[in-house]
Amino acid sequence: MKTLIVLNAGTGGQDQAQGRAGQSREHLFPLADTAVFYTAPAQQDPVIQVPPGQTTWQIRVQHVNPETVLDILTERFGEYDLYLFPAGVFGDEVAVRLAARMNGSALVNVAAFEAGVHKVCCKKPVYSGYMQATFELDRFPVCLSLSPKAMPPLQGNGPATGQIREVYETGRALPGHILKQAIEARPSSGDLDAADFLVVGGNGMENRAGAEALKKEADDLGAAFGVSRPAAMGGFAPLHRLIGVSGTLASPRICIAAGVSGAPAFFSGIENSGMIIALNMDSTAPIINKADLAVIGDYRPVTAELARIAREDKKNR
Amino acid sequence: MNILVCFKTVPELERLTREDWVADSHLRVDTGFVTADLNPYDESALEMALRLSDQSGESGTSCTLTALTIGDSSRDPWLKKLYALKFDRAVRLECDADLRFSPEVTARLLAGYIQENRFDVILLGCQGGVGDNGMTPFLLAEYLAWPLISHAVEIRPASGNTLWVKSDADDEFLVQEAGTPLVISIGDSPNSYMRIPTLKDKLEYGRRSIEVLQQKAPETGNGNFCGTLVDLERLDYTRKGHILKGASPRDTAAQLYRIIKENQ
Ligand SMILES: Cc1cc2nc3c(=O)[nH]c(=O)nc-3n(C[C@H](O)[C@H](O)[C@H](O)COP(=O)(O)OP(=O)(O)OC[C@H]3O[C@@H](n4cnc5c(N)ncnc54)[C@H](O)[C@@H]3O)c2cc1C
Ligand SMILES: Nc1ncnc2c1ncn2[C@@H]1O[C@H](COP(=O)(O)O)[C@@H](O)[C@H]1O
Repeated sequence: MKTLIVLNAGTGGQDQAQGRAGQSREHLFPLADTAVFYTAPAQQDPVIQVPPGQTTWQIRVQHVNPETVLDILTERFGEYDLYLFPAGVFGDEVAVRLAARMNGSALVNVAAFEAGVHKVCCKKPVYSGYMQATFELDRFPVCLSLSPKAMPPLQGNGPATGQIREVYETGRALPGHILKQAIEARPSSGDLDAADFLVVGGNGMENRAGAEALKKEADDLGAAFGVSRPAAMGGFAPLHRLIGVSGTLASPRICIAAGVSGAPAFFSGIENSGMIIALNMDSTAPIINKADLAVIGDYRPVTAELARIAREDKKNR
Repeated sequence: MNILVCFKTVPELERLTREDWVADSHLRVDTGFVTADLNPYDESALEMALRLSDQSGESGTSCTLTALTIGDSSRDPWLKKLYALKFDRAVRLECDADLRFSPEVTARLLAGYIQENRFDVILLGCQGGVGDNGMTPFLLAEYLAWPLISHAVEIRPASGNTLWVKSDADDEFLVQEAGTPLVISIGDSPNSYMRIPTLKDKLEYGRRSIEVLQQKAPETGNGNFCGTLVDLERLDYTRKGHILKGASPRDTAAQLYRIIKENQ
């Protein structure tokens, strides 16, 4: 099956190309070609690993936006059977619209897939992550956005072998409906991605003061601090602290989950933790059975004491 | 500016017990016994439309707000609530088809309604339960041949018929001024819970009758856009769940601290 991996190394996607391309090509999709869209000047070509035998197109455009990418893919790269994108705002949009334009089929946020001769079999979470669905797609081309489970981010920077086969440049402006555009930096969630020790607070924190108190205790413990969706949406803490399917998928050695119920959309964010410690008032909360260790009761006196012990420990060392 | 918000409701899945998560022979899970709530992204979309209308009013232009859902009469109390919040029209398309995993059918039905009425801006959530398809806004934009901004987190009126839109672009935010017509999908937007109508407004506006239109599921050609559902299985993650009991919070914390140090 002729497969093309499409990556965005332009607006919002710098990490994608650098992070995901190398590993995905080397280990997971050995026979796929890659198209990387980027905006930087030629001397700053995106760094990606290119195994010999396949083709990588570096496509330099004035703006990487879905409209431009869709036009170029349909005009120049229309001969593939399977198109793969990293799941996200850009990948989901281009996957679905490309399939619509090419009369194919699409799925977003696919956790695993298997490509047969006449169909592609995909698994993805549905029912808010309580269930996993299996879909068979037989209308080609098949366009999929892959969750980090199916296209994991690269850990660290691999060496760039850099055998770029073709470069295709095009100067296309912004799509007509955009009258003005500016890019605003987004606070990084890097400390959560890399955390070895993570404290996550949920709705049980009740408000911003509760979140600030728990954050301070996490600092004392030397842990990174994340929150559940209601805590982020309610403004207790900034959105880049969000843990879960909509935020960071963390993989710390130890995770303390305080005042979170453990809904699947949240739990995906801490599922890869070495040890999970739940602090919850409700002995029937789902998080209890998803944790290695649980304390039933108000989390606040427990985390306050933990922070005090950590401070004393530090003083005595 | 004529604004349409497409919304749906989703069953409160956290109320189902472990035993409830079984799929029948049609690969359906019975969720009929729990109450439904607004899809969270759609709740943001509805509130953002109300704010757009407020802000336009302040600058002397006017907005007409329509709320539309495809579903059965269980959605009517929500439509009435939207009337009470001063939506101008509340519309329900009734269609028998199982739309859980058919965003192309949903988008075709929406496109059909939109083409027969005049709108400048369509707001949708970026994803809706229980299918969690995350596709309807993209397909709607394609079927209408309208431009799209996806995962908006803030919208404001710019000039007469343009909008200022801040949207999520994976590692960055885009801040754009965009012309209409425009489809906008709403992403994670903090502090966008929907306002609550006053009792007075419920009595004054909330009693208008809902426009209900019967629809047949449109033909979508050869096969499903997102394939055929062939299996549905419960995703289960369980660990030991060992309960740690201390004599006091101080004692519990001391035990926990030791365990943390041993495992760090
Ligand atoms: C499309 C979609 C995407 C989503 N993505 C995410 C996501 O990325 N991340 C995410 O977190 N959620 C996500 N959600 C929401 C998710 O489904 C849950 O609603 C959410 O995780 C619940 O958050 P919570 O556990 O903090 O709150 P609640 O469910 O309200 O739970 C609070 C818990 O705290 C306990 N508690 C209260 N006070 C105390 C106290 N003083 N001491 C100890 N325990 C206490 C209670 O017993 C309860 O168990 C998503 C939902 C949808 C529909
Ligand atoms: N039955 C429906 N009625 C109205 N709007 C819908 C319906 N289903 C989906 N939508 C809209 O499409 C968005 C994305 O849904 P989905 O593609 O199913 O994840 C939702 O957030 C809604 O705004």
